[in-house]
Amino acid sequence: MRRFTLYILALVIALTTSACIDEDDYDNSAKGNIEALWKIMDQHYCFFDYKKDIIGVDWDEVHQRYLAQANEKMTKAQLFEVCSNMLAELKDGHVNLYASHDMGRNWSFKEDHPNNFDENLVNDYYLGTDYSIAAGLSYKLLEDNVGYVRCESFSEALGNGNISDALYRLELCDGLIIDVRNNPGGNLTTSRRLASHFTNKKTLVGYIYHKTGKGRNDFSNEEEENIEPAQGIRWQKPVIVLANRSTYSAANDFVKCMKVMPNVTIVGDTTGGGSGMPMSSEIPAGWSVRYSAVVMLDKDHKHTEFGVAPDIQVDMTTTDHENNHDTIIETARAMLRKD
Amino acid sequence: MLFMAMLWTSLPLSAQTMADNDLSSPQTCMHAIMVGAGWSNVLESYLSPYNYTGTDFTVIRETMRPTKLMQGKVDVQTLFQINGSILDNRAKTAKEYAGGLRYGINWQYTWDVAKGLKVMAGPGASAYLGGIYNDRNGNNPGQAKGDIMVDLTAQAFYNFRLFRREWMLRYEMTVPFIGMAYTPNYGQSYYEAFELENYDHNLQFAHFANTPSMRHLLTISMPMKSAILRFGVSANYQQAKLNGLKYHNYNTDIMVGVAKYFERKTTTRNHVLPF
Repeated sequence: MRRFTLYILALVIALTTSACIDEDDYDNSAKGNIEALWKIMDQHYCFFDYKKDIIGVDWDEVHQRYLAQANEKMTKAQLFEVCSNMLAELKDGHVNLYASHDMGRNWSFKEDHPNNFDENLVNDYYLGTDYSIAAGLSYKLLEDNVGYVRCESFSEALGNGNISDALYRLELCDGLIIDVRNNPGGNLTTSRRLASHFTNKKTLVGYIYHKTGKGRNDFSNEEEENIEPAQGIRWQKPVIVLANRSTYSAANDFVKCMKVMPNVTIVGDTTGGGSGMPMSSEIPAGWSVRYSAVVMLDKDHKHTEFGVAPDIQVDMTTTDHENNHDTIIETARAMLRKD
Repeated sequence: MLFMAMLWTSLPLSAQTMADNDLSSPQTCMHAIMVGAGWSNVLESYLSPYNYTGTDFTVIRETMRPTKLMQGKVDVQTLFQINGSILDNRAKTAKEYAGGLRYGINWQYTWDVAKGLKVMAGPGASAYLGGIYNDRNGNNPGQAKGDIMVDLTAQAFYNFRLFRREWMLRYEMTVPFIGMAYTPNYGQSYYEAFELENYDHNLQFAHFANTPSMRHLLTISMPMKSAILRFGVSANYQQAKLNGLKYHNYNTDIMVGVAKYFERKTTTRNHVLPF
């Protein structure tokens, strides 16, 4: 018995001391950084197949093309530009490279499309100065008895109490406009919390899954995402959600969720997308890299990475803008007004 | 100051506790506390593929007492260890903060190998709770660490005289053998794990092949009035490869502390005991 115990102990020690768990060696050259960046994306990014189908990105071809640009005489700024350009191939607003001097990005999801939003116009002619603020919600009852709620970000904490109080103060209006144009996202928990005030029953809003390994198609099973009715006031009247191409990430998810709620109409432009939950890593230069890591689908198992289409497409017109009218808000008001 | 406060509170309490025990001969128990600082090397591939290095701080609280098991040849040891590290990546553009606490209990059989030399070995159990935080990651800013393990432990004591004093050299090694460990899946977000409560192999069977880890403690002790001054080196090599995620936390600390022995009939002892 004593001998057996000693053998076991010796075996465990031998295995333990010989098994060093570490990552590949660190190469802070131009080639090393491009290679490391490509590899991080290759092993963690979640949309390769989808992007290949929709925009024709071949990540292996990208590897060859950008590795050929590696030159050990290039400056840090030049290396950063090459790395950023490589990431930009994916056309994903959640894919970024961060250095102290710049942020690599591809914002074509909004830059290639009309703005459909003018913050000054909204502030000067709709919210004015006598609006109320409940955490991240700015709201006001407009003259035609339509409630207007502006939510410019989901980064700020927004509790059920804030939402309920705002909805309570707007309870006599004929209908509600929730304006999430130019909302870049924030916390998914916050956007889902707001959406939970617009349903009376548990509602399936989509599916979620993540990478389970380094392979490009190593994914977990899809899991249902449901929204439970909020504890507090639940809105029963018509709601119109305003969106544009700068409605991104958690705001894109909000529009996706609201689209399946009863009494809700989406008006404006297609959202900017950004349905991959981003995570972060880094490359040897010390630059941080962000990438989409978790896939979120809509209730029909469809991607919303490139946006959620509105129920009614409306663009802001130049004439309206010159007359200090927001075409999209005015369309929503007309739909909600009870003349 | 913290060390002095802990020492002040721990020693009288220990004495009181031991006075109630009915232990076999030699009815002696040891309580020790050590603090130390050193260096640390952490890899957590859920946060970054690169090693972060920096300063480590450790506190070890240890007790040891005899039992009646196997004709009094088995002693029971408890170890409570807290450690924290402040770490940088190599480019010094990001920081990580790692820390945790481990409680372990070991039952060790004693062999008198030679004059002044004793060897002890046996099974143990330990639990760890900790985490690592990266100060610039977005949806994966941290990684929680937790495990419950069955350990194998062994230690050797050597008593000798030098400069008209008794000294004791001691080396202890602990190797986690089997148990359970917590980990997210490869690309699983904490939003899925905790907000949506989507389980995905987050509790893993851990064993010495996928969590090849070791804890070492080398000390030298010398009596100083009613207590014993202790100097040493603590080396912790925690590793894991679970759900495709790689983790290591290597930390080495220079330790200093005191030990004190308690007996049922007399409460002080001026020389180094064989454990």
